[in-house]
Amino acid sequence: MSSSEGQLAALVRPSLSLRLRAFAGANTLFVVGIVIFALILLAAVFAPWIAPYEPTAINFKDKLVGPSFSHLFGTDALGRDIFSQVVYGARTSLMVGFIVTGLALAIGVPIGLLAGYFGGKIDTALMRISDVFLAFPPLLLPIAITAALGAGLVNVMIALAISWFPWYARIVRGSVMSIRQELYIDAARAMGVGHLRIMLHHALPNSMTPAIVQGSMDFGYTILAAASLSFIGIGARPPTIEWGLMVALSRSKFLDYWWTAAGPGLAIFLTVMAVNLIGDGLRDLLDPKQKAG
Amino acid sequence: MLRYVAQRLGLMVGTLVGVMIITFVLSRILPGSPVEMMLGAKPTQEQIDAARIELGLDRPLYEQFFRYLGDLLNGDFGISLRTSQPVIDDLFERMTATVEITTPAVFLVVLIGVPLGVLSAVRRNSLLDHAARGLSIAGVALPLFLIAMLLQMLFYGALGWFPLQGRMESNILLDYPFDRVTGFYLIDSLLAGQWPAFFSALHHAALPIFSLTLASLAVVTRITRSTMTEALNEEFVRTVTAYGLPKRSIYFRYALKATLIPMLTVVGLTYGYMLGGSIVVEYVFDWPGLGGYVVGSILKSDFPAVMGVTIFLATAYLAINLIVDLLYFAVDPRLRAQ
Amino acid sequence: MQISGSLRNLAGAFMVASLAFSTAGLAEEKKSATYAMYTEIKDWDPAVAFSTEVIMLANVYELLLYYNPPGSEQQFRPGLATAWTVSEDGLTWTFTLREGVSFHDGEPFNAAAAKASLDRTRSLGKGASFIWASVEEISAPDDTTLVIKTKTPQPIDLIASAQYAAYMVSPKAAEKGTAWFNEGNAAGTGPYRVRQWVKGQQVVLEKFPEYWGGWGEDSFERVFLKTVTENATQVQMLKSGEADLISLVPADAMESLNAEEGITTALLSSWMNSMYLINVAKAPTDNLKFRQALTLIWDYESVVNDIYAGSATVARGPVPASMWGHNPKIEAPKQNLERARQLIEESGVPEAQRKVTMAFIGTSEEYKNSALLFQALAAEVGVEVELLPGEWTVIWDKAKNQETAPNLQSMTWWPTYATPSDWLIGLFRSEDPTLFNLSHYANPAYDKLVDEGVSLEGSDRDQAIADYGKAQEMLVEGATAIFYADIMTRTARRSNLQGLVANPAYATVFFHQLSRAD
Repeated sequence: MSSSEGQLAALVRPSLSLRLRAFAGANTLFVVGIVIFALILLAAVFAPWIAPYEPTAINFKDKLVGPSFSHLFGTDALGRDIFSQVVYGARTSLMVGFIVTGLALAIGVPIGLLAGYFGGKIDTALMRISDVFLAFPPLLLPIAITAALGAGLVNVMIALAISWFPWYARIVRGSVMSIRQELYIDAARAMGVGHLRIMLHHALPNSMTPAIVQGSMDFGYTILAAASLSFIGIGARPPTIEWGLMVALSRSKFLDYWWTAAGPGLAIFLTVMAVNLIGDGLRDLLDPKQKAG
Repeated sequence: MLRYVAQRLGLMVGTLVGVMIITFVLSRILPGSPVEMMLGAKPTQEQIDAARIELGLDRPLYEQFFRYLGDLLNGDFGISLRTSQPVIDDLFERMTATVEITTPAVFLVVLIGVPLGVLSAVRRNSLLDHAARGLSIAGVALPLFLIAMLLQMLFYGALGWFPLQGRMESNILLDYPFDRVTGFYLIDSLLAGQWPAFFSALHHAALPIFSLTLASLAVVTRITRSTMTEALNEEFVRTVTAYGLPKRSIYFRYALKATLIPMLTVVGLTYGYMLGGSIVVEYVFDWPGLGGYVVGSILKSDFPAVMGVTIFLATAYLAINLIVDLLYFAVDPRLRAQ
Repeated sequence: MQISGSLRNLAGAFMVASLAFSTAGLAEEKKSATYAMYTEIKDWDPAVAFSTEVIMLANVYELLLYYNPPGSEQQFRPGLATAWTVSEDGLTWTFTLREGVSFHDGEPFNAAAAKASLDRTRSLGKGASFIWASVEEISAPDDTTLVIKTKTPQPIDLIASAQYAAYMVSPKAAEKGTAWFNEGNAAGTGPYRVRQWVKGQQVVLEKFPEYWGGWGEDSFERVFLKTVTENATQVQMLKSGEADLISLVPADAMESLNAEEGITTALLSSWMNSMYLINVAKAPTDNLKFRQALTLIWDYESVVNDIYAGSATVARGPVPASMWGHNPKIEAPKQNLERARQLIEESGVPEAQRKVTMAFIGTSEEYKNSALLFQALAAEVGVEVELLPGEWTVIWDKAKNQETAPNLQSMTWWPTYATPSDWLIGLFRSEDPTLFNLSHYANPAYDKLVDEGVSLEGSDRDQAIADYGKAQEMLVEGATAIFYADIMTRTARRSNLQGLVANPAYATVFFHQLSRAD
């Protein structure tokens, strides 16, 4: 994972819109990502208008029909329209992405802030604790937490946020530590400004950019992880429509009816790819030091 | 050196204790208290009290934790509710199946991903470079379960080259017996000189291995490419280039050498990643390893087993990271000088 | 380039390997058969086993006598007993045993061994041992005579032909105890002995050459019982020829499988039925009208015709129509959403509490799809259904305990031996602690009725049938379950497999009777 130690956000901000335009011109992949993501976002928001069928409507007459004009992605074993389900599924996946990333930021940022600002023993203690959460191979800790809390999408989101917050704690800590060296912080302290005020007004804004860049890059990961947990049967359950769950339900059919897995699979793939492209772009734009080749 | 090793070891032990605190907390918030599990549906109050004392639940929390810790250190991970065996026995029985697919996958990833990354760094913006970049963008966005299912569709469904799931063909398992010396089918069958058994094992392991390989290939290629790019820009590489050494020897003797250390980290990370990935892959291929075990245990509410796998894999993960760190330390003279 | 060269070699090596061991092969061997079973053999002890173990047990162990498929001339055929009689008062059964039979471990089979087997089962008190509950004493006056005395008249011929708890076990093996069996050991008199058990993968049965029934020219000498939990995988194995027979045929795959060359599917009559038990002791399903409404929401026609793809008929009450004692006056239920809506209003269950939980075995396509359909239909009349798919042992444990029990619990039932009391008592008689009465139904009048029925089964069959008939009406009127399907056994096999006979009394395949056509 990339850890960022940038103080560049402040330097960048004034010319953001200008740079954005120039950047987008030179970076087609970023634009592609934005376009795909916008389409998916639209699908999620306007699902009832876009989906040609009620996503849960069962119609045995049309079961396991291949893709056609009347059923773009075909139908499943109950004759439900897969395209409509995929459209509604966008709501779930995007919600998961936003909530998990938001929750992880909400836990990670304050911890990183405290650790980076105060340093010393507080820092050591907080970072050691965070490190424990990173001591698991991917997916394992969310699985264990979900096993303890009970299966379900809400618990999966909580589990993912708990497993993911240390990355943000680390990033924020890093940038706060470098800001802490800055003269103006000392000046503020000397003028008698309180710790809390300095943290919130100076350290926090300057360290948020790398955290958000990281968040945008992890957004796709959270969608993947939630889909994986639904796939193995401990995540979303009907009537929630979720892409990973759809693929799981198709497992007994996909070798003979490929489209039952293709629709939701493609949706996961495109969404995560779009989000990753945006994340990469944002990083290159806001945090050029981290630029990967 | 010794001091560094000791320091890193200490850190790992500390983290492990932390891991156990987490699993301890998780086992306490589990649905179905340990008392309930012991006594069944309708216990009397006296039975409950007696069981609480027997399980030490009347003691202060920290004391309970130390008892838990002591049990774990003695290898007592509890009894699996599903197999009625000690969890630790189940873990050792299944560990080899997991290692048997993750290890070859790591080798394959390095064998394919590193050259691909190097080539795409050397020939920037060539067709190969674009293809490699496209691959890495797509690879990161494909969930592992889809990769595995795609492989099943292609190599089993359409081509019929590889089996759908399982570890060995029935009649070969019966007719070409081999002793379970190491627990690895691939090694044990070779030791016994049972070639058909070896090929059958390899044949069955292939798709799980490919799935894990494909899933990590993108990341490894990408990291190799960027470290190689950096290395090519470094002073000494530019110097030897100026001396007019042949290009190929520059790339592979100097630049690649400079990327050795970051690559070490990548291999370690990849191995750790695969331990997580094996959960999904083993589930899809019905592979009898730890990943399949943990999923099966969750579905059957076998919590001692779930927590056992969690601790076990976390320990393995930390150990891998430790080894990488130590190797890193041994390889990099700059670090040692500090 | 060196690298791509070695890559090509690697790919080549895999190709060679896959050509050498292409997936067919196995099933084509003339004298071996492969059966894909969906769960591991858990209880190897024939006195304890009470589940899918019968697939292995019935090929390794034998019964005194066997129940013939319905429609046969004789109700029974001899097994290890060659003849049997019952005394006038119906209390003493005398079996004449087959001579010259030995167990796999060399021990002779005789009356003492038979007595030891049954006594052991009774004293262990595990599994289906309850079927012997009315036995007073078992004695072995000489080597070939076994006498069973009962307290009340009982159909011991039916009981002795049960697929559980009635197998003959070598006395020497029995001494070693359940733990020895559970290591994958066995010692019966059957045509096959256990050759290999690879946990989680397969059990291999091998010809027992000294089998008293003899061996045909083409009989299978090896039987592979492979554990394959996913039904999709089972289907694939059948298609590729890796399996000759599979245990889980998804209903909606029957047609496409039958169209496939080399595969034959068949629907066989069975005594199996499926229902959703309704918890009568848990809100809101403790309300009779609300329960009745639930039974009217169910779309019986679609479930049977579309989800079970015609491999089931709409159930008429708790006992399958193919079982003796079924009450023919009970009519097939029909969906009626209007009436359901009305009943829900009349029930007085407030809107906020019109919420039920529904637990079922998650790997079953039929349960899953019917549950999804029910969920969608219930939403139309304002009832929210929460689905709780799970593994059987888990949901069963939860359903037993009223605190964790769902409102609706999936249940597929088949009898241990041929009697309607298996459903009426096994599922609905008051229980403490709860075992299978997951409706938590407790009705003393009902209990009295079925107790009387079972005591009259041996002596006054007509009165027993009358009692059972009334009991069935009570269950339907009380809306104790959504009785939705009498199931036919769906089988799919390689077409060249010969000799398969359907027998609803045994959930197994008798491999000794099978062979493969050329």
